[in-house]
Amino acid sequence: MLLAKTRPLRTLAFRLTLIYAFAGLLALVLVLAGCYLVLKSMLQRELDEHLVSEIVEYGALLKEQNLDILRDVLEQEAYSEGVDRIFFRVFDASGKEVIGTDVRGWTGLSAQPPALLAAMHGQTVFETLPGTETTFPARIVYGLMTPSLVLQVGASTESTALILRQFRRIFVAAMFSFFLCSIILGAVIARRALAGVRETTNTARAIIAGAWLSRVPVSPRGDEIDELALTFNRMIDRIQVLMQEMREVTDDIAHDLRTPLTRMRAQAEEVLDCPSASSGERELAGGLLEEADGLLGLINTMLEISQTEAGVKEVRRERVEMGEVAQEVCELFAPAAEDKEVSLTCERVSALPVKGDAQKLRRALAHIVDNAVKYTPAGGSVMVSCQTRNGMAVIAVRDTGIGIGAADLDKIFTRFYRVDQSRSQSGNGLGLSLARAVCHAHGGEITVQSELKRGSTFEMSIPAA
Amino acid sequence: MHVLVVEDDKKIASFIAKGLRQEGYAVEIANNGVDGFHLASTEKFDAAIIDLMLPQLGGLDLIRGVRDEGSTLPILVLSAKTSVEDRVKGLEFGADDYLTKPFSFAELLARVQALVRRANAIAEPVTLSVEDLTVDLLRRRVTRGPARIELQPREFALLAYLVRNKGRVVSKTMIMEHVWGYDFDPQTNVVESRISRLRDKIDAGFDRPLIRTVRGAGYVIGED
Repeated sequence: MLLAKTRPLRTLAFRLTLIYAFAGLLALVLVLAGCYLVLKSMLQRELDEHLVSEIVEYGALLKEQNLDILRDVLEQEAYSEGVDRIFFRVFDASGKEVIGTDVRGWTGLSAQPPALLAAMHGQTVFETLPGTETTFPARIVYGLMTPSLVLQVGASTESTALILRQFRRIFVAAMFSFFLCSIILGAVIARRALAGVRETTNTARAIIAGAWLSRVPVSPRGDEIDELALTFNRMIDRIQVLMQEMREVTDDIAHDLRTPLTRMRAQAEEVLDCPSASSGERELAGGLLEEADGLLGLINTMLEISQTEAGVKEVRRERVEMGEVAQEVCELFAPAAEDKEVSLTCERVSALPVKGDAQKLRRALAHIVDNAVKYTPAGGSVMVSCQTRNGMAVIAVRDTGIGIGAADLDKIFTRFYRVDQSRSQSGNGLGLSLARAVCHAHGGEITVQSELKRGSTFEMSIPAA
Repeated sequence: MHVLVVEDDKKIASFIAKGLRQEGYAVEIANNGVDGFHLASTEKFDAAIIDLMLPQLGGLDLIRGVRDEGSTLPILVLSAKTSVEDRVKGLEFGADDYLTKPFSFAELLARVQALVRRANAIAEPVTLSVEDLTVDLLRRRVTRGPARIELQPREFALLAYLVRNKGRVVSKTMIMEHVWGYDFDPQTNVVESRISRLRDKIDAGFDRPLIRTVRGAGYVIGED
């Protein structure tokens, strides 16, 4: 079976990195947002305290001086600070403005603020004047200076706003750089943490490709990944032992069957060679000889299928030109097809190289063509064509034969399965099974499409070299 | 020619001995490795056929023993094991050729003849003949009587294989393996069709057909 290559965006390392990065980012946003709010309220409180202290200070001044002095002081203060940054107004008990600095730069100030009444009763009232497009919001405080005079102080929040804006800029920059760093760092950490998993995967791939001696390196840390590697290695050891055992068992079976077959064959040959044997006896001996050869072929094919499927023997990896293989196989069957009046054509392509075992591939294709010719009645045709498709060398064998029913279609590659259950046709039902084992051993696939009475198409695809 | 056969299966041993004697060889049989080693080191042979699975002394050890004595006796190994490693091991221990069971006598004979020829530095005959048919292996030419016969390369290979085994039955499986190099038994008449084309060229127009079909067993050329 082919292992799908993992796409980088779906890897565990990538997902872990993203999750960590986002989690980190969220935490950072929460912390920074908290800081921002604390800073904002601190700055506001500081401003409020400053304004209240102004009221207390001018109240004290008024106890010793008269209103005219206070007016001069206030106006001087407003001018030195900037008239659009601070203003002062003093109201008497009737709500009439007795002192007022320049408030032309301030929009939205009412001449008779409703908070005056509460201020007259001794409360300190805070108000926020919303900003406009050109001005910052302002903070306004009312407070009693003397039992009959209320001072209204308004200050622009410009400096607070500037500090907060600066903070926000730093905030965003920090978020960006943190995110970037966490992605890079996360990727590195995830890659290192998952290196063991990757090594295990690579080793498994190498083993599938036939490198049975490779093992996953185990570090001395003894973490979960090392445990995985150790378990994996132990599993491969076990499989290797099983495969060795299977190889020995199949060798033994083959051996134990071959010796009596040799005896059988020898006796049949002796009869055939005996001058005194009658023609009837010779015929019997001939039949025996053929059966012995057939049985041997069956044993050999079965062993080959099991060994190929189990990967007991490593597949040779030579450069094989599939076009030539197709040509050779067609050449082999040409006279038989001609005698059967089946037209056998091979459409040859120049380059269709694969890496593999030429003999095995040739035999696999020969079984398919053999079947196609066998099940195509006189007057029909068998076409062998070669092409490259999606990086695979594909050899298609199309016949106009009797076809295969849908019910049988997925079973024809099974060992000993024959569509003709009466088994009147010759053949042992191993050919297609071997062909499939060979395709799989080469990392390829064999497929079939068929329609009863219309014909079948078998396709052998082997990864192109 | 004197041939030693070391084989513990008595039926197989006598089958080999009988066939070789028919071909004019003098044959001695040993049924175990110890007797085989004793014979090989005391008598002079032109070739030895040794089974690998032997009682008392295994085939490989027997071969090594023979080689350790400095003998250059041509040795053909018989074995029921087919794996390449076994084959390689046999050759590494000093065997000259390897034959897998089951084998046909024709095959065994051809191997023994080749070994003896090689040991005595005799070149393989360039021309083979059966009755009035001559096959020139070097120039790839075939004549029957005075007539020259044109054959396609595969037909030539098929004829040459039959003639090399003249008088012996070769089965379809053997033909598939030796002429085409396929180790399988086709369900279509691959071999039959080739033989019939070869017959059309070799036997058509002659009174005595050379290629005979042995029903169920295969084909044989010449010598009734």
